[in-house]
Order: sequence, then C-alpha cells, then structure tokens
Amino acid sequence: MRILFIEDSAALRKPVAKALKASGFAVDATGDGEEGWWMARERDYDVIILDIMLPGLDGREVLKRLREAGNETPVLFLTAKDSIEDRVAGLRLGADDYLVKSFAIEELLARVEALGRRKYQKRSPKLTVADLVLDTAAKKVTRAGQELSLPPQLFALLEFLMLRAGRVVSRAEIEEHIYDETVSPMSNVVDTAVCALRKAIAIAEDSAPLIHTRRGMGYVLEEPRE
Amino acid sequence: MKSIRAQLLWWLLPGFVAVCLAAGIAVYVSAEHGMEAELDNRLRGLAGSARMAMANLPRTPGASARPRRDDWFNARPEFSDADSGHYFQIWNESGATVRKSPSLGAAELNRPPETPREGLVYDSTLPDGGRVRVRAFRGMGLTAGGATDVAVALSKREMDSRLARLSMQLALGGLACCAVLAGLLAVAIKVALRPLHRVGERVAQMDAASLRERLREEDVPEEISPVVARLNQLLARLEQSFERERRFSGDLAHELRTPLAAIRSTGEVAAKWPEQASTEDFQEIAQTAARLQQTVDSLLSLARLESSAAGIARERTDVATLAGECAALQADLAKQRGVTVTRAVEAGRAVETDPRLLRIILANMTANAVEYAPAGSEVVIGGGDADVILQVANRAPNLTAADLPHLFERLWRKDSARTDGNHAGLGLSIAHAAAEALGFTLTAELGDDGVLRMTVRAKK
Repeated sequence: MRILFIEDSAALRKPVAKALKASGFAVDATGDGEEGWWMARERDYDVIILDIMLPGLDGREVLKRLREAGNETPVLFLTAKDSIEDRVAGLRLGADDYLVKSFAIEELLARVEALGRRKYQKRSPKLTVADLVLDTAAKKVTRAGQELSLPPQLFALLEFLMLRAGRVVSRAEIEEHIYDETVSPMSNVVDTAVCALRKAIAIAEDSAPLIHTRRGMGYVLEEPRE
Repeated sequence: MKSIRAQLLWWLLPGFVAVCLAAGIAVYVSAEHGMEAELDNRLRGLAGSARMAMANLPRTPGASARPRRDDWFNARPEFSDADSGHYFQIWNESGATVRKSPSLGAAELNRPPETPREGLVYDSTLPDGGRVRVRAFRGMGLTAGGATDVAVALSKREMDSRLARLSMQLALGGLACCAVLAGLLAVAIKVALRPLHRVGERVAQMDAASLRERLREEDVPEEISPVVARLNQLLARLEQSFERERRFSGDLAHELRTPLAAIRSTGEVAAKWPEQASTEDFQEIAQTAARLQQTVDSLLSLARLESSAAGIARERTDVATLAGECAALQADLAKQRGVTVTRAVEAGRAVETDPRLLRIILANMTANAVEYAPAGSEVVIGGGDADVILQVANRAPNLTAADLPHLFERLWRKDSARTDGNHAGLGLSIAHAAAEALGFTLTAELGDDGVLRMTVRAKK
C-alpha cells in the first residue's frame, strides 16, 4: 500500500515514515501542504496521513480540496489539537480518522492498515486466495497451514496482489504502489520481485501456481481454474 | 430581592386607594350638602306657608266665628300621617304645648330656648331615634294676645337612607375601581417588563459555545437598551478573550505535543526496528527534547513574570553595554541571515532598573528582529532619549497593521503553520511581561516605511 504522509515537523516525519516503510508500506512524505496537495493529485494513494497546521496550505484546506476534486482516498488527521470541536470539524470535512499527538506508533500503523482495508472494502485483516492466507495485521503469510517468511517488500507486493485478487494488475500500478519515490524502479524490478514472490509462495513441487502472467497487460493472482 | 413590579405596585396601589377615597368623600359631602339644602328649602317653604296662613287669616263673609289660627295645620293631611315625615308643634309663651301634629304621636319636638323673629333652623332627634330638621319661628299668638313659638319639622329619614345608599355605592365602586386599576397595572407592568424577561432568558441560555451570538438591540425598550448594548460589548470582549485563549491552547498543544510525538515515535521506532536505528536518532531525540525544554522554560518564566513582580532588583544599568551584549548574542544568526545589527545607543546612558529583566527584554526584541528582518536589511538598536529607554527597529515587509495587536500574544506567529523553528512565539510575550514587571511599557508601531519599531518606555 502506498501512503502519503504530510507533516511539517521533520523530527516527527522521519521516524513515522521509517516505521511505515518498515511495516511494508510505500511512503511519500512531505512537509508542505501545497506540495502534498500536488502529490495527492498526481498519484493514487491508499491512505493519506495529514497534519492540520501546515505551511503553504493548511491540512484542512488540503482535505477540502481533495474531497471537492472527488478524491475518496481515506485520510487520517494527525494533529496536536484534541478538543471535541476540532475532532468533529476534522471528521465533518471528510477525514476518516483522527489521531492526536503524541501517539503510539503501533496505533498509527494499525489505523493506517484499517483505513487501507476500508479502501478495498475489507473488514477482516485476513486475505485468502485458495490455500494462501495473508494476515495484514499480524504481518503473517501461510500457505496450506505452513507459515512463510517474506521480506517486507515481497509481503507488500503479495498484499497488493491479494487485495486485487482476480483482477489484472499492470506493472505500472505495482511500481506506483509498492516502490516509493526514493527507489527509482526499472521495469524489470517488478518482474524480478514477482518471480521471487512466485518462488516464495511455492512451498512444494506440486503447489498450484497462483500468480499468472497476462502477456502485455500484467499479472493476476487467482486460484487456478481446473 | 427587589422586584420592579412589586415596587411599582407598592407605590401605585396605595396612591390609587387614597385618590379613590378622597374622591368618594368629596362626592359624599357634596351630595349631603345638596340634600340638606333641598331639605332646608322645603322646610323654608313649609314655614313660610304656615307663617303666611297664620298672619293673613281670611275672614269668611257670614261666618259666625273668626277662623282658628291653626286651621291651616289642620287642613294639611301630611301632618296627620305618621309616615309622611311632616311635623309641627306650637308652644305658648310659657312653653306649654298648645298644639302638635298628630304625626308626632306622643313625641315632642325640642323647643329652642329663644326663638328669634326671623326663625331658627336646627337638627333634632325624636325619641324613636328618627332625625328631624326643625325650623322654629315666632307666630302670632294662637292664644289671645300672647306670642307663640311655632316649629315645623321634616324627617331626615329619607335623606339618611339616600346617603347610606350613596356611601355603600361609593365604597363598592371604589373597591371595584381599585381592583380594576391594580389588575390593569399588573398587566401593564408585565407587558412592559416582557422585553427584560426575554433578555434575561436569552442571557441565561448563553454559554461559552454561544458567545458569537448577540442580543437584539432593535426591539428592546429605550430604558433597557443601554443595558443590552453594554451586555453585547461584554459578550464581544468575552468572545475575543475566549478566542485568544482557544488559539493559545491550540498553539500550546502544538508546541508541546509535536516534539513529544517526535521523541516518542523516534524512540518506539528504534526499539521496534533496532537494526535500522542509528546514533542520528538519538541526536534528534536530544535536540527535540532540548527545544521542548526551551519552550517549557519560556512558558514557565512567562508565567512567573506574569504572576508576580517580586524579586526585582534596582541598580544602575548601562543601556549601551546591554545593547552590545544582546547584539553579540545574535551575531551568528545575523551573519547567517545577512542582517546587520547597528547600535545607536548614546554611550554612558544608564537607567535605574533590574539589569536581568532589561536584558531579557532587549534580548528577545533583538532576537525577534534578527529572525524576521529581510535578508540584507538592517536592525537598529536605539534609545537614550528623554523617555525612550530602548528601541529596536527593523524592516518588516510581511507584517500588517492588523498583526500588531497580536505581536505580544503568547505563542502568536505570523506563520500559522508553526513550522519547526528556533522560537515558539513566546519571546515577545516574555519581553512584554518583563517590561510590565519593571513598570515600563513595550509597544510596537509599524511605520508607513514598513519599519517595525518596538519601544520600551518608562510609564508616565
């Protein structure tokens, strides 16, 4: 999942972005409201984390513009203002969640995950395709009951594909959602990663292949049809 | 509790009662006089007729005897009827009753001790209690040659009963009048006080959340409109101060919580993913904590300055030396920002004050000027005039006249985003509070040339 994190305090931006990345999210972070608004228009993010007091463009204004432009990306307000009026005003503007500083990093991660699931209309943290189960909360993948160990990037890729199970996903989409701006992905980075993921989820010789290539279009993850 | 309604009723009702009573008495007295006059008229007529009849006795031709002098009385039937209220009595010179009307029965009229010729009118009471009006006169003797006293009388029974009826009517009318007036008064007061009630109810409904609203001044009576206007002014001031406090608490939350969140997140992330932690994280924690401490220290010193003026020393303080120290403190930042700090304080100029607090004032003023003056511009530290102790001037192209009232507010910053910076927006508040503690004033003026001048003056 790709997260846009707009927070003007560099001292806070750095550890939070690090935690999000370590949890398998692709993160774009900025300290300027105007730039954040521009980024949100340019790319399709899964969740936007937004501070309220921002230079350039106020967080509330960013959210207002997003919603007016028809952008439905879940937004988490991150702010020092904790009064009921501030929370209500934030939620009324169209924010999906509200977290007051200071917060436990685990809570922020859990809320971001919940918002990400909401985008894909999923209530349960468990995604299942055939005998492959991915627990987005516990960050665990099992196949036929056997636990697999995946590096964060492969985990994020698998999660991305499972959230869109049965749908063809293009290389460009994968690039956009899995790799953040700092990594400049070449087109074969995706192919390599998909290849590695195929290997990682094949636990036995006769394991049914779940990731299929659609030539010229991309990949699809689904249960093989007999 | 004093009630306007009770007070008005308390004053007006007895007034009404007194007026009604006086009017009733006047009506009663004038009616009584009228009735007495009427009775006297009738009595005078009766007496005149009697006197005339007794004086000119017509001699009937061929009659055997002279007519009797009391024939006139005998000829009138009302003197025989006991209920008619007409009476007469005739006394001889020795005071013995010669004749009296049958209507008197056994009773007798009072004989006046002396009866003048022109007659005498007086009141008398019959033994049965009936009051009568008597007119006595001297008549020609019914007895041979002797003078006689004649009295005719009319009963006051009818007049008394009419007066009794009148007084009853007056009393009932007066009571009814008072009741109606009291009712009208109560209704009028209630109607007149209704706007006051409405204002009271409106004020009672107000709380911190509804300070934006105002009381309507258009449809209130003239008498309470000044009160409503003052209440509205009070509400406006309350709203402003609430707004200021709300902004302050929001800013304070941001100033304290954002660095706390940064420290907490950096720590938690380093603990959760220790392989990614670096010494840089610890440095950042230390830096953020130091800045947080600076903010807390500033807030504490501000609170101390605002709460008491205790512990203020008084000694001769050289302003020029102080200006030199404060300029030196900001030298690094000034160099970094390309700002020149010029000292224009008269050498040897000194004031009797607390040097520690004056240094706080000037240091904060200078720091603010160096921080916000445009790159390449000049900051001038002046002072030493008759009443200006210190003045710091710098160009402030971004500042507007509307910003001036906020300059000394706690945590106020022109940039509402409150991006990480060296200052939390407390410096000028501290300088202002310190100036107040020293008995000075600190003011800010924005000249037409775009130069912001902050001036410390001795209070006059």
